[in-house]
Amino acid sequence: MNSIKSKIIIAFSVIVFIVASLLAFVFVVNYNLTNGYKAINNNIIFEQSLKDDVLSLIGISYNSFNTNDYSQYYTQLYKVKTTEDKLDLIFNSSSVDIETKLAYRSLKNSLTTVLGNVEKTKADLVKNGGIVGISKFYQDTLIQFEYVKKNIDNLLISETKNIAKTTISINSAQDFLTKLTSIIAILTVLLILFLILIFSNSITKPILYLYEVSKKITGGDLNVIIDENIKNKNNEMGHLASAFSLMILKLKEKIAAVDESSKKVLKSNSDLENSNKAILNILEDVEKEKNNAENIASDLEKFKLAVENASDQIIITDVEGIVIYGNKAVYKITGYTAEEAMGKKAGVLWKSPMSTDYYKNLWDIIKNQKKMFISEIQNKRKSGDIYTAAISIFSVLNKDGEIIYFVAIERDITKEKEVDKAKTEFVSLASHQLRTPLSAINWYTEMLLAGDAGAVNDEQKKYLEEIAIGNKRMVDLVDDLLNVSRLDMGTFVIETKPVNLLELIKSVLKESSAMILEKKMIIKESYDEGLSLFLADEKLIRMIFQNLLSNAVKYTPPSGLIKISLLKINKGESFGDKIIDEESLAYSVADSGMGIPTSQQGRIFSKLFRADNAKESETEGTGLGLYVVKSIVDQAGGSLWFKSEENKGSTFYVVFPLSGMKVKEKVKEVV
Amino acid sequence: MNNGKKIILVLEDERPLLEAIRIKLEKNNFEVVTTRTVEQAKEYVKDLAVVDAIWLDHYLIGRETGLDFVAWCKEEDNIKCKCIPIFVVSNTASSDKVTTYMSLGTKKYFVKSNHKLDEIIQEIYKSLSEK
Repeated sequence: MNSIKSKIIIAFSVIVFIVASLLAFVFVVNYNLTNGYKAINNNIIFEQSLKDDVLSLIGISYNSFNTNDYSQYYTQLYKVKTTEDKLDLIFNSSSVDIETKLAYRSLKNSLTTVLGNVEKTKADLVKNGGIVGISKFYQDTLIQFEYVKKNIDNLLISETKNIAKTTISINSAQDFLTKLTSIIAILTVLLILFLILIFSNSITKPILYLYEVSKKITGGDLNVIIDENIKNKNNEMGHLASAFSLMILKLKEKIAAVDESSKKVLKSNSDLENSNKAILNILEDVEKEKNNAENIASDLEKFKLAVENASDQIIITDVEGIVIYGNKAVYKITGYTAEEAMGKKAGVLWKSPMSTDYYKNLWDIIKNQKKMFISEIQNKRKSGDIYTAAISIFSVLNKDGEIIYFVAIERDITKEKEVDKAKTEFVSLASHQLRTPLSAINWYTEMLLAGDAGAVNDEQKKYLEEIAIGNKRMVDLVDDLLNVSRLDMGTFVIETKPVNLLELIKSVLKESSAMILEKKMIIKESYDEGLSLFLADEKLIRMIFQNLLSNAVKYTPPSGLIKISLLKINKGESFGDKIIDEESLAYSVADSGMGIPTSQQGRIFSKLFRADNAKESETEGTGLGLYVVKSIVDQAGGSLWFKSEENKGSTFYVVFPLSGMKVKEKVKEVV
Repeated sequence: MNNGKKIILVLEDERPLLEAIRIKLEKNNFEVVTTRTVEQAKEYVKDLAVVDAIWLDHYLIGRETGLDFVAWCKEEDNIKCKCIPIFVVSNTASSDKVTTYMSLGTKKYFVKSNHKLDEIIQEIYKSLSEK
């Protein structure tokens, strides 16, 4: 791979190398020149010192000669000798020019000569000593040393020339080198700039290109395609470009995938929304249910409290009659606690003295017929007392209609019974007490009228008859009051047997015949054909017919019209402006009498109520008749209503289901 | 003794009524024995050789009522009394009492104040002749 990096590295390496080399060259040259200069300078310094030494030797030797102390002389001489060696070293290097070399040779020769001479002189001195010798020495050597000095000077001159030359060389070289260095610097910069330019192309352009591409991508256009040329370049940029291209591809894929996912997510979201809503609804419902349940629970609590504390005894048993719950009243009434009663068969504990048939009937009604058993029962308390209770037992069914519990509610009615008994006795006695004097009046009047105590004249007869009438009224009133009290106490009974109603009506008409004849009433009868026997309580239905008829007769002026009808009505037919919704027997009495004022019609069936027009008229009435009749009709399952217009007349309608009067039994069993 | 007249035993506690009944019955050719208590009535039944009918009120003097008398009378071993027709003439009109009396075997039940004496006597007479 022609990596840009390697290219850059190479380029810079080359540059560095070139620069380094040039600089090295410059440096080396400089060094050499400097060294050369130094060398020459050193030589000069050496020669200078040699010269000094020689000069001083000359001086010393003069002194020595004068003083005859040659120690200093020899020391210095030795020093010069050593210098000779050094001189060899210096000038045996090849870097000396010819002139200098010649000068050196001369010096060397002279030095050798002088030193040789010195030796000789020295020897001479030793041998010859004295002034002669010294003068010789002085002359010889000194001259030679002067010669040496001259040589040295020549050498120095040469050297100085050299140095000057060298210095010039050095300067010019340094000039050159400086120039060269500048050129190198400039070239390097140019080179670098050039390289930058080149490489920037390789680097910056692709980068800018990719920048443009990425701008497009961020702009949302994922369909940019990177130039093949750029991609395929086999260098870092090329790799970057192709990586970029791949990245774009992958990005596209990822975005597509994300879009998919986000679509799914949105869908899930909306599903979740819906679920949420559903859940919220459910939660609302649950909340409502919870509230309901709480309400129910609190209601149940109330009911539980009510049941627990009810004054009536409430027992719950299973299907077999085993007690599973008893309220507080169990103890109050029976003397046994609810706990004592638990788990035992109901009735076992309070050993009811009822007959087997009673129980058979009880179980039949509650278990087989699954109906409510309402009756009176006698039970024995823990103390042994027998008490009477009004009992109602009903079954609780599960959703399959099977019995799961029985609930028995008992009320201790012993006192009530006693009170009732007392009331009945009282009414009985009272009516008896009232009737007794009435009977006396009745019978004695009868006897008088019959002449059993002697003949009576007309006037007497009239008075006696008045007494009889008054008496009859009282008797009727007592009868009515007795009926009313029985109705109020609910002690009257409806016992039915098949009755020939036509015969009954006829009999009733006969009863009122006296008054009918007297008032010259016109009776119109209208009876359906083929009316069969009707299941009724003869006494009571007689009362109904009799009362309505006597009212019609009483409240109609003489020569009035009374219409009696007895009909069979089919389901859906109309009778007395009412639609009768079942097969029925219908009786109506219509008169042309004084009618009932509209404002008082609502009270006509009330106890002891007589309308104003009735009261004003001379007719007698207790105001109890219609009350009694209405009560009987209602209790016997029939309907009684009327239509009336003042001074026009009234029509009273009685309807019973064709099946007969409803039987009303006395609840108490005949003991 | 018995001269073709029927002997009727009347149990009634109210004196004026008892008197009126007696008069009327005698007028109608009855031999009348009156009493105001069950106790005495029992004695009469025991003592008298024949009693053709009994006129019985419900409320009487003493603790025992007409019902007690009927119950005694209709006892199995009271052969003498058992067959005597009893006519209950009382002012008590409660159907209870009526049913009770009739179920014990009395012949008829009259509500005093609703009938003339003549009526009742006629009925008794008719009933006895039917026998």
